[in-house]
Amino acid sequence: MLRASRHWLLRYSIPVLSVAFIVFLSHTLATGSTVIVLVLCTTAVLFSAWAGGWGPAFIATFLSAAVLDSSSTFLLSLLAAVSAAASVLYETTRLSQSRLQEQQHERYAVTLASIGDGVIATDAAGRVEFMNAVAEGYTGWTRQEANGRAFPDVFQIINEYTRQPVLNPVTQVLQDGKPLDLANHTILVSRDRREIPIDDSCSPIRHSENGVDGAVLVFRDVSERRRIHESQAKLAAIVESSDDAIISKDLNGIITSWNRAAERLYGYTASEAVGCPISMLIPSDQPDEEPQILARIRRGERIDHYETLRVAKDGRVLNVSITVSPLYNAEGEIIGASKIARDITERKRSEERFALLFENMPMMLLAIGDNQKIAVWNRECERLTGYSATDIIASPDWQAVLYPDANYRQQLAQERRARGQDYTGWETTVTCKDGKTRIISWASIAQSVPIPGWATWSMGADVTALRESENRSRLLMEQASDAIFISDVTGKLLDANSQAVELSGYSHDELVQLSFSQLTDVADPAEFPPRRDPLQNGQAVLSERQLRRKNGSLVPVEVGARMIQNHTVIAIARDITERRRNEDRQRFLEEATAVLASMFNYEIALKQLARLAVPDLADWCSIHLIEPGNNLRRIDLAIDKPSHTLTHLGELREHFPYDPSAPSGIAQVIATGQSIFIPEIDDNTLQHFARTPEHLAAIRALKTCSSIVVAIRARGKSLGVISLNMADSDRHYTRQDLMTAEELARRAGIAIDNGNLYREAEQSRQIAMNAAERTARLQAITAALSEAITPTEIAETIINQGLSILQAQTGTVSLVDDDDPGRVRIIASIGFPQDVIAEWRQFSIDLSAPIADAIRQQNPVWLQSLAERIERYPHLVLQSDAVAWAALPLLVEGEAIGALGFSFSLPQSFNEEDRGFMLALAHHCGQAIRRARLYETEKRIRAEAENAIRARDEFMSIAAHELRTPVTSLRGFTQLVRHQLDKKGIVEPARVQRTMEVIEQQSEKLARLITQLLDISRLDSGRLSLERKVVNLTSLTKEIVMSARTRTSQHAITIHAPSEVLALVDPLRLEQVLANLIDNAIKYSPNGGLIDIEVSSVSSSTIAIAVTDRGIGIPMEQRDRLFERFYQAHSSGITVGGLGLGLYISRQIVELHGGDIHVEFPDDGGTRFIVSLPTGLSEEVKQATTGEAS
Amino acid sequence: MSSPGRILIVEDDLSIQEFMSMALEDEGYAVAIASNGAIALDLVNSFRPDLILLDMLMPVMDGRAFIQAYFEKTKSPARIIALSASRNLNSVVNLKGVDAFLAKPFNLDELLDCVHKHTSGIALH
Repeated sequence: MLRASRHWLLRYSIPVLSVAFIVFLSHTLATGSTVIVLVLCTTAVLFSAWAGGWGPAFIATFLSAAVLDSSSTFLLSLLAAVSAAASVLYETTRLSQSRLQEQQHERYAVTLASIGDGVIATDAAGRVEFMNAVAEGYTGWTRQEANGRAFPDVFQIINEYTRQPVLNPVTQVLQDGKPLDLANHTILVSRDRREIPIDDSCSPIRHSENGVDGAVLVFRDVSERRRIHESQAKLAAIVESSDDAIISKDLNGIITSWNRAAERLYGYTASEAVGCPISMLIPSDQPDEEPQILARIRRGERIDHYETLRVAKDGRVLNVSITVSPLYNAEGEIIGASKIARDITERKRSEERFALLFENMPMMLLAIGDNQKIAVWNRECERLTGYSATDIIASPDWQAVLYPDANYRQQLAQERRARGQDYTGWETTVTCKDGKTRIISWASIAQSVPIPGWATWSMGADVTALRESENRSRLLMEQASDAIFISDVTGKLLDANSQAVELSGYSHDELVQLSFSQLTDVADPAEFPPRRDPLQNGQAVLSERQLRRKNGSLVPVEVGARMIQNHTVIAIARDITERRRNEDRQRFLEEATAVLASMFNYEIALKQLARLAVPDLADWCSIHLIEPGNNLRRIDLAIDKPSHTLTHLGELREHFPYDPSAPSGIAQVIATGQSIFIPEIDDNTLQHFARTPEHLAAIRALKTCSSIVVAIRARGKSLGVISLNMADSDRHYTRQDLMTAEELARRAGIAIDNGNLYREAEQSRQIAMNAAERTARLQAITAALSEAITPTEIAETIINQGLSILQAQTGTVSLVDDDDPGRVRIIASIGFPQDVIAEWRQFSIDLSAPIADAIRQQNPVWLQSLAERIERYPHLVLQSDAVAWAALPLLVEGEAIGALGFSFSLPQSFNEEDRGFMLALAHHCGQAIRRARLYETEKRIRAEAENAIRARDEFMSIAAHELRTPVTSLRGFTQLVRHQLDKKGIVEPARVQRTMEVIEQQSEKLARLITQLLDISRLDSGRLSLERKVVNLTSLTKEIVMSARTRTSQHAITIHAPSEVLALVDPLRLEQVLANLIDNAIKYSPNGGLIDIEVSSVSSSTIAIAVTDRGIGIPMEQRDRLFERFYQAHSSGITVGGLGLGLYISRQIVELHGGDIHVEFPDDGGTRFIVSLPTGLSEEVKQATTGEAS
Repeated sequence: MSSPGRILIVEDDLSIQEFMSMALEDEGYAVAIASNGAIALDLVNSFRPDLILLDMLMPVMDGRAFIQAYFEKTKSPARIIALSASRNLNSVVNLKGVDAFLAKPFNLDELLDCVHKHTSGIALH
């Protein structure tokens, strides 16, 4: 029960409870005995000291003292002394006991910690109480962390194969109480998930007979042990399954083990062999071998790859390679040997076969041994050199024989190696034993796989014949006239002949650094060499290409290529520059001929021709034709690169024009027809042609380097020249070029000649066609004119037709004014703006203008260009934007009645036909207008006549009507009187009286009518004469008014007049006028009213008489016609009687007086007629006659 | 004895008016006078003529215009004898409503015969 670790509450409750028990007991016993209480208290103190130590003892003492009530100091002191003694005693005992336990515990811990196995102890509940360092390491738990945890938490195990958790041993042991030794294949899974194969055992801990107080588990890592076990098993399997025979024997040579390969090799089974002496395998003729081997083994030596013979069970002798190693026991003593044997019979045979092959193969095989001596010198070596192996090996200087150029070879080999090639090839000229030389081609492969005993080796072949053949080929190649290139399949050049060198401009050494593509025109890289496909099919390929020379220029070549043995391409190239040029020339001639033939306009053809010539045939080409007057006209200048050449040529022509009389150059060519051909122009040539130093400088500037000038001729006459020149391209003309140029000129000459002939024919045809067309047009115009009736219609027809045929801009027809011969009127115009028409509608015939001039001068005016217009009519330049003009008089019977005018927006050259056509137009126009005018005149006259007849008929009708009315009245009254007389025999006097009056009135009326008719007759025949005398118009007017008043009762007639107004007039005629006016006033005021008459002197020489009524007036539309003959106002519908002659006659009479009659219409209605008359009197006459008239 | 008929004279010439009215009144007719068509139109309602002697050529309203207006105005028109000095008779003769035509100058007997002829039926009524 002594537990230092007991809880303090428990420890200190002991004294309290024990003292409480004493108090309870003493009360129960009801004993007042102090001693008993004291004994009880002491017991309690002692119990507390035992159970809890000195602390509880002290508390028990203190409580007991309280119980004892301190009645006895002695007792208290005794109690204190007992308790102190007891406390000290028990504390001391407890301390020593606890130290002993700790020491024991320490010992166990050290023991457990120092063992190599993991140890974990648990209590009876299976909670971890202890684990040593090894266990900590395996589980990954520290002791402190694991303490108190359930064992399975700390120690997790699974089955090695199933990987399922395994029943925990501690649990089982605590259940069964028996120790447990668990099976293998358990894996401990550590806290950090490591897996450790373990063996473990577990035992219960017992402190008493029956109970189990806990369990202790001991476990260890078995991985190392298992590895050793596995490697031993593997070793055994290897030995057993090895293809090599593995045998062990002891030092006496007795076999101790024998694997399966040994069984197969030697034919003995393991059971047969083990225990037998090893010597049974050794051929009988080698009895010493085994003892020697054993001796060496005993010395601790190892024997490697010892090749020897062995005998199998069936007696076969075997070639074997043996490795023997000593076997040691644990003390390091040699106790036997292991022996590995391999059957090398097959290898041995193959070595022999190779040796035979080397010896007899048809190539030289030379191997140099490690000792720098010849190791192999086969039969072929002997055959070719004449040296036997013996000879050569004996020769102190074999290298000089075989490698006279050894330095070269070494150098070559080094280069190749540096480039990563392990193959080395070289050639040597070997001097054979008989003194002849042979070319041997050697090949060697760097010894990445060393052959034992050989330092180096090479194989050689006799290439003497091949090289000689090659030399012959080379010679052949050089003899060829074409360039020959040899390349590999990639186009890399391998060789080229001297012609190729010459063609390409590269040296041979440069060429073999290039590939075909570098020799090819960049624009065509894939095509040179020709496509490989046909080549690889073994076909020869022929094609034309451009070869790029070293200087960059391109040479046209024809290339034939063929592939030889799939690795070499031979290309043979031929320069076809000249052929091309010939083809170009021929093609040019063909094209030029086609151009010349296809065009009738040879100027266009020549221009195309000049352009065709450049750049193939010339850098610049000019073509000139001879014009009338021996001038040269340039047709075209074609320049390849129009740069300085153009400028210089321009300057040259400007400053040094063509001189037909020059003794050389173009003039000479034209004069003689002989061509100029200068293949190479040097300065001397230029000086020869130069006229002056300046000329020389100018032609130098052209930098012409080659030139051809040929004459274009036809029918023995020079027509022009073609000049072909080379400048910038640095090409030079050849004889062929000259021939081409001459042929070209010849064909051009024929073309021009043909063109001229054609043009002439065409012109004739055109003229004929134009004439026919114009004739047709004129006929059409004539037809159109027949439809036109008025001059304006005719003029428009003429202008329209003229515009469309002449392609003119405007057209006009102007006529001289009928009334004013000094003026010209435009009667029709087309194409002019309105303002121009308005301005020029009429103008003076004296104007300086084409139309006016043409009329005045009766001659056409032709203005073909602006210059001519400006020259002749400078003042009219701004009047029109036309360039050309034509004005043609319209002549009728030798008189110009007007003019036809056309203007043109383009300059014209009026040829004979044009002029003829326009004159014809003008003629037609004039005639048609004349006819139209005649027609119009005739029509007018006829209309006038018809009008006169109609007027006469009308007049007769009116006159008859007017005459019949009084006749009716006269007849009516007279018959009425007679009728009455017949019936009654008597007539009333009043009726007779009335009848007489009527007869008088009506006969007066008839007389007046007859007078009027006579007046008209006189007026018409001009026979009406005036009998003038000086009259006082006032008096005259008054008389007339008096008379008029008798004829009306409805009207008031007033007079306003000065007393005397004198005039020289015919008073009867003037009375007729005034009476007529007053009668009209009465007649047109049917409802009566005022009629006012006013006489006045307007001036000293003019008088006026006005008659004003307030009547019905005159309708507006009829006022203009009042004074016409037979006119009656209101003639339709409203008739007032009378002949309608009154106003006409009045006007005639007034005008005969030199006066004037007119009518006014006052705003307030009515009508006012005003007669103005000259007085007709000079002052003297006035004065003289004043008295007489009055 | 009752009146043989009522006659309207439409005539611009005063002397012709006068002699015709004298002659017809002598024959017993009741006579009214108008000097143009317009005046006549005013009269026809009050006078109610049996016969109209109509001059064709008159100022203000001529005979043709009168006929047109008169026939528009009257349901039972009077007979009409046209008078004219013109010799262009077609236009007058074919005029609707004109029963007879007398060319000036005519004889008195012609006038009276014509008037009697065109009033004889009327008298019976």
